[in-house]
Amino acid sequence: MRRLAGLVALSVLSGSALAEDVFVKQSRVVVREGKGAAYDEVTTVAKGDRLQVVGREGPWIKVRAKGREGYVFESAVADQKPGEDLGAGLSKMLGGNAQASSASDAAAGKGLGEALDLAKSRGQSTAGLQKMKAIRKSVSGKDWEQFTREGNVGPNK
Amino acid sequence: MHKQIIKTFLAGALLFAAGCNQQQMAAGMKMGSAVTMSEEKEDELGQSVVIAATNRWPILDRPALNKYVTLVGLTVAGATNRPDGNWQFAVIDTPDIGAYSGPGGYVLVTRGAIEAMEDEAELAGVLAHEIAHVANKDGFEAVKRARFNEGALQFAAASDSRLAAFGKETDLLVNTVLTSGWNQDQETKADTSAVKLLQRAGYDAGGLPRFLARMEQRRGGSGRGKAFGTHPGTADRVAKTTAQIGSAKPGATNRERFARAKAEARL
Repeated sequence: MRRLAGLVALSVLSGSALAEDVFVKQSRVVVREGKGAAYDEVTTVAKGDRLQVVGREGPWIKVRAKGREGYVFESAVADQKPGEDLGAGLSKMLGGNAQASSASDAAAGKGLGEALDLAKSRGQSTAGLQKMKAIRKSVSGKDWEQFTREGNVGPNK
Repeated sequence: MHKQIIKTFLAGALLFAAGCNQQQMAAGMKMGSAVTMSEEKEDELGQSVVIAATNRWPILDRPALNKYVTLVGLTVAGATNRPDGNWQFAVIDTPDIGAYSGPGGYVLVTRGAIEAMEDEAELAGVLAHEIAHVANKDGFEAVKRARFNEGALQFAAASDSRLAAFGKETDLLVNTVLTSGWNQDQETKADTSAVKLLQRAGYDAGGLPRFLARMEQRRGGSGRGKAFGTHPGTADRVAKTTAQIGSAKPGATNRERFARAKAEARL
């Protein structure tokens, strides 16, 4: 019984130690199934979003976001909620739209995204871009694990 | 020899924009150091580079080779400070020897470059150099400098629509990436970063100078050809990267795997 109580206490303590949140500090961060760009996207999060830390594995942080678990890289998040980006204001002054978010524009129904909108307006084909995205999707996290293991490179070196 | 045969990877470029003096350049860099670019913006610019490049040269129709190049690229990208990024890779169908990159993680390598390579470390070296341009945000720097040269206020004229302004940025960037090339400082930094990335990823960093040296040999060892403007010769790059590597322990070359990938692609 005492042993059980000890385990419960330990569990509560470790839970407490891990009960921390981090905040997304980049405008858009992909939460992935594994620790690397090769892994599929679980969800995406935006600057200022609060993520619950589930665990830490080296520079990778396992988080819970939008009800799902996945990994983010440590440089993408911060302990404190990010403030207003001074660079954004300067950038606007310099280039007019350097901080314009085409993703948000697209979401608001303003267009496909600047690159696709521009290509369309210029009569350019976007087939190459679509092919490139398809190539990337053809590679899974498992493919990458096998590739790096067999080649003795990457995390397996 | 085709005048474009060895592209930006080897060439570097003229200092951005004619008429830009050193004071302007320094001021532009200083002023721009506080300026950031959103991940979405980077991605849109990167997509535009891919669209421009693939409207010139199609993506090579060899799915297995494209997948292989992507796996090598992801391995190198895993050693950057953005191992979680939106890294994408493809082979473009041209006999020219070169590689290109766009902001956000888009990297293209030519069929001609792969034909000229002898092992996976050389491919990793070329990809690492391009990945370094992305990680160093050189695309943003190019746009920023050109913007400063033109005059920020003029560039961001109130009459410009959002798309027209983006079009100007895209054109400046595409010109840098596909035609004029990065500046000398950016090229040198990309080489230095590439060696570090290769070593972190477990590849033989010597793959980069080996490939450069072979290209220099093909070019006839002239050092500075017309196409390479005022930039350091390939021999200098070979010397610098070789010195940087020093006596570090060699990494993987995966020569057999590379040969299989080329053979399967009938290259």
